Amino acid sequence: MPDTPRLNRPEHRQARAGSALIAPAVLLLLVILILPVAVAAILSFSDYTLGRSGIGWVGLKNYADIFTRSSYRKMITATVLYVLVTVPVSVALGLGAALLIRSVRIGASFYRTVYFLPVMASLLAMAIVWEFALHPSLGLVNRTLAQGCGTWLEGWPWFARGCAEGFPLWLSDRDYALWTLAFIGIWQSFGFNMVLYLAGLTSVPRDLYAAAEMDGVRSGWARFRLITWPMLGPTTVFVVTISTIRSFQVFDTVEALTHGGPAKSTYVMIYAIYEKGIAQNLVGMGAAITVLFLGFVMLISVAQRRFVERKVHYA
Amino acid sequence: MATLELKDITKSFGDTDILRGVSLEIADGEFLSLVGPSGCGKSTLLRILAGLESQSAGSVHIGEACVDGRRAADRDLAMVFQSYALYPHLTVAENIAVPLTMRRLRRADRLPLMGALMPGVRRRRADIVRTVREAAEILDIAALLDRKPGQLSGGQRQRVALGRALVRDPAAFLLDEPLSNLDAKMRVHMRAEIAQLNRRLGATFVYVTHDQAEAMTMSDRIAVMMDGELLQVGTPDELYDDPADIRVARFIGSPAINLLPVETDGAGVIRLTGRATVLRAGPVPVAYLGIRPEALEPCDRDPLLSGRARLVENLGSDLFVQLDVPEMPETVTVRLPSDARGKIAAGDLMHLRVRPDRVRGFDSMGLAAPFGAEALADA
Ligand SMILES: Nc1ncnc2c1ncn2[C@@H]1O[C@H](COP(=O)(O)OP(=O)(O)OP(=O)(O)O)[C@@H](O)[C@H]1O
Ligand SMILES: [Mg+2]
Repeated sequence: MPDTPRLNRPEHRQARAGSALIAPAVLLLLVILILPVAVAAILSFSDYTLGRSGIGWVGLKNYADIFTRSSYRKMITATVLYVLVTVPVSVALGLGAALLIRSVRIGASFYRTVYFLPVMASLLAMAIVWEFALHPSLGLVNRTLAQGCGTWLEGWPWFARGCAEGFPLWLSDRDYALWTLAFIGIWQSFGFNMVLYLAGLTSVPRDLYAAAEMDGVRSGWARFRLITWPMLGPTTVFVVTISTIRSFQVFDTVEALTHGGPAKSTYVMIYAIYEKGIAQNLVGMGAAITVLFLGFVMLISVAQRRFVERKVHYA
Repeated sequence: MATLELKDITKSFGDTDILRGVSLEIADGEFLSLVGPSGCGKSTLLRILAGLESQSAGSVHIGEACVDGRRAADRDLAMVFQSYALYPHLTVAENIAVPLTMRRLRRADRLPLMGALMPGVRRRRADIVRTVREAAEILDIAALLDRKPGQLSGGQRQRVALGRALVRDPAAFLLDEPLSNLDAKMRVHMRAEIAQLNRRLGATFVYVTHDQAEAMTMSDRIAVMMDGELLQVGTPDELYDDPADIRVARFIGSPAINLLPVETDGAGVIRLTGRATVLRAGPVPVAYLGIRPEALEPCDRDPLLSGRARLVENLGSDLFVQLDVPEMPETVTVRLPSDARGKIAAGDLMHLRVRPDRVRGFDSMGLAAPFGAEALADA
């Protein structure tokens, strides 16, 4: 029997066909996903600006700036605060809404639709509505609050001060602007979390609740601790991850309502990238913030994964 | 320990009636099996008894008290679910301990850190661990205590579910097909364990099963259920010897009873394939004769039936012969003692007779129809 040449053996032919078949996918992956990150990483060591022919290498200067200049420190503070507020609140609200919707007999689909509306609406369009509502003198919010002046609400010092000196300039007071944006962020995203939790809840077997009842679990809280919360573990991981990444990416409300101000109090990372890299054409600086941003997101994913592998039960 | 009583329970899901007027009294310490084909409403009845489902009409009593409107957690019953319903995120030991921690520790005691500081909690926790271990040993799952349910086989899961019910000392145990997934050996072992437990604890057991052999061997009484109705409730012997309904006769006994279509003529003579028999009908015309396979015996003359053997099944202890009887729609099964082995082969002609007191009659509706008095006198 003549020897089959080594390269013509079936397994080799198959392997070659396999490589050929995945090549386009690998290529696309490199070009679309990896290459831009690599380019950003390289540019972050330069002072490149669009339209200039040369490229000047500045080493770690961009990064040094980020960690020393106060405006970038504010950027990191604003971003982290925003994430730390919106994520827990929108996750908790989403879970609460899902549990409530599951427990009502009629109107569940009505509530589901209503809570989901902000998710479907374009945030930019909704930002205009919020801008009107939060206008210091004409806005619905402050006018409504003003109705409370002269009533028992004045017993609350904050409220009394509002009546005397005017209610806050929600979007242009540096003590309030970030929290106002966080509120809008929560308003917008908790419906999405709710839908994810509703899906998660359907996968909890009903018999478990019956078993718990037989085992003498009487209170709703004990039932939640024993069954619902552990069974929703995988959903929670997913919801928290998605919410965190989405909060890190907040941009449209900032652009539409505050432009990072006042006094850089809402100068979040994506807005900074946009301002430096695109508006001011400081591509090198924008790239450095981008790399930092990716680092943050990566760090969170890894941390979550680490934590999750040990704590969460996957059925 | 308590009596259980169901009074005229009905249950409908929408338009479909699942239970139609089920009444049942279960004595204190009794072992009652509920048998019936799939979908007849056994689990539903058990859930109503447990308080997990509410009946459409009728009432449930435990002990002296009417428990309608009392929630399941307060009825003091333990249940094994058909689906096991184990907590997937807890280990086997934690699963079995749940009913104990929930009932023996107060809410403050269960708090993760604070609880440990409460007086007496440490001792009670140690008690729980010991009880769990004992239950696990009875069920032969002590080696699995640290695993999660997802890492167990079906039979092991079933035993964990059983353990979770057995660690408590409830008024009654409700078991929904607790042995359906075990292998034959384990099943026999668990059968004995459960029966022994019933005697040791003196607790009332309601035991749902598909398996009539299980019901026959373990029960004080058996309730046969079909299409949401109880057809008959009685001791295993009563059900086997005197089925009140043709469906009960068919359900109890393996291999199944022979049901021979017959006619009753104007004089009350029962005719089988056109020939008169010694049997006489009572007031109600008889439409079927029910004869257990072991009641038929070979004979040389005056046979009730004759037919050719189609299949001979040798079980070692017994021999089952399937006979083709002319004009009979189904084969007739005969059980012969083991000394008949080798003496009969497929194709042989057999003549069979039966003692009249071992024959039961059923009317055209399927209800038991007693024979007239002279039938027995003829025997
Ligand atoms: N929640 C429900 N809604 C509508 N129909 C139901 C519901 N639960 C049970 N049924 C119906 O009630 C009937 C009896 O169900 P059940 O579970 O009591 O049967 P079962 O006797 O336990 O059967 P098996 O031996 O297969 O477990 C079935 O026809 C089932 O489809
Ligand atoms: Mg069932």
